[in-house]
Amino acid sequence: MAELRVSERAAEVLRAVRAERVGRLTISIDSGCCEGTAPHLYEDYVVPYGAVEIGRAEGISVYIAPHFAEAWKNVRATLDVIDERASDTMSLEAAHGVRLLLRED
Amino acid sequence: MSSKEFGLFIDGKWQPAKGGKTAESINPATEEPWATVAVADRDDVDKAVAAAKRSYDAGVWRNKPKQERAEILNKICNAIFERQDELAAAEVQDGGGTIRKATAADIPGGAQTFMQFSQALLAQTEEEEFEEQVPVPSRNIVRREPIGVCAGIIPWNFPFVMASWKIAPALAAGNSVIIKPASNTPVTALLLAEICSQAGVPDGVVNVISGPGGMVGEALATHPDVGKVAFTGSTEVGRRIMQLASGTIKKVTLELGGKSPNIILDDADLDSAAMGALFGTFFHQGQICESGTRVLVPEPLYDGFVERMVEGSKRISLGDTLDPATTMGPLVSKAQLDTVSGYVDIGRKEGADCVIGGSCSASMDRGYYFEPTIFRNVDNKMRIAQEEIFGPVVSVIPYNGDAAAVGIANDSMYGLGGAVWSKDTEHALRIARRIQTGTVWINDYHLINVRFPFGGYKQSGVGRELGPWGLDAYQEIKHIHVGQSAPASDKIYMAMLFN
Repeated sequence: MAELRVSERAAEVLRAVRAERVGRLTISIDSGCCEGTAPHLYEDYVVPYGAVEIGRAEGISVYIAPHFAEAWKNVRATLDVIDERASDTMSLEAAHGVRLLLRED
Repeated sequence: MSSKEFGLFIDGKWQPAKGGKTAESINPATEEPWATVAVADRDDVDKAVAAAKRSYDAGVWRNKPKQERAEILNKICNAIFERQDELAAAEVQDGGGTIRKATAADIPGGAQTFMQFSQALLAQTEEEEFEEQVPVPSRNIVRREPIGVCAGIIPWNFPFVMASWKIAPALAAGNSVIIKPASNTPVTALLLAEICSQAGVPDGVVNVISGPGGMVGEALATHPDVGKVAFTGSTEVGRRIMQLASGTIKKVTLELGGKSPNIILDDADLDSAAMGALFGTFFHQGQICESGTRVLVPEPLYDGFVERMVEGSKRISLGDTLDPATTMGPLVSKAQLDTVSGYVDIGRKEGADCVIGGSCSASMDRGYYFEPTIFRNVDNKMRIAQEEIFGPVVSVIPYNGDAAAVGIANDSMYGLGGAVWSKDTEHALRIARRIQTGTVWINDYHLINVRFPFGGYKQSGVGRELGPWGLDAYQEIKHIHVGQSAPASDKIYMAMLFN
């Protein structure tokens, strides 16, 4: 089972986003063109069938995409944030001038 | 101090963002700002959508005869060539590609897209007619019409080409369009809007607004007056756009990530294939969605082939992006550099061997440069073989027999590109037909041709861009049934209801 920790700064950002939103929040980790595998924070996200919950951050479920679940089963990582000026992700933390990322231990 | 300033291009005019916000565009080779660009917020999205809708409803573009639309598309093509030096320099400074690539691929590639869609439009039959006798005689017209207001959300890796791929088919079909370029690389898309306007596209038909994806992208994907959204970028954001667009049932085309297989068959010209494997992964620093980042090599040839790749990689020159001798530039941003370098650590931890590269370039004292990196002894199950890295990192995977090669090639959530190398074309074709991707090259790589469809199987996308298939993606299809004006008693189907 993957192990997930949350940095204090990431926790702070997650709490701030939660205070702004009314819907259910989800963090989805998936891969793709242009940004590599990254965590994305969404409101009212439809979780793909077969995605695996690898932990919770400030009460928000963190899912890994179905296709990556096997390779990620022993990953130990910390959910953190970095400052990002020009973010095009639709992840909700972007409005706070930061981007979520995973730092592997 | 940055020297150039750009606004938003809305309704045929340069204008500042309503909130007055601007952002600097950083040149990835110098880490210095080189331009300042207006940053749109929701009010600007509303303004751009209103301008696009107004122009569409007024019919100023869609009602022009198609010969005239085709001619204006050709004028845009010519105007791009007239401004190619300015466009190429802007593309290089915004995104960190090389001037060699910008002048050979980006700017002419964008221009050719307009010419191709001009031709596709003229070749297309606007209305087809069919006769039918059952249950009553009728003429049937099947006609193509534009969708309305189309939004294009594009990435930072090929800003000018991607803007062209979204604007040209939208215009050919008679739509109005709003482009949101990537926040890192907005300039050439903005210049393209000005070029379209100067070439005779009416005000409001082409609008380009730069701004954050979470705000501008989301607003476009959910706006009730936008009929279609075309997105190129990451699978995760594509999935989100599809979910957001579902609220108003927009037409959606998506061109997403890849982890494309580059299969070296045992009868390949190994020198050529090794160079092809390098070109397929290191061109534009590997920041291309269809990069052939999994190189599959027969076990008996494996060691020698990796050696050829290592030797060949030494012919790649990192350097000043504006110097024509430079063949590899920096990655687009510090964040991207961190991501790529994180994957090298992951690959090492998974047990793959990094045989060359693996770190930031020691020869460059500034800029987000990363050395071409080759991993050997990679298993296809490893994360570096399954996840898209979007940097100059290639996984060389051994295989035993053609069936195993096909199995490994298709064992991916993605299905965008790929190639097969062989001296025996029939042998290569047998493999190519079994690869589950939208494009397969034989004995070449990265040769996207605007006349032919491009897009992804599986989680690499929805729909196709380019060629007549790409024009279809910007059109609605209408069936008009032309019945006879005859007594109701002749219309026998009505007997289902009336006695």
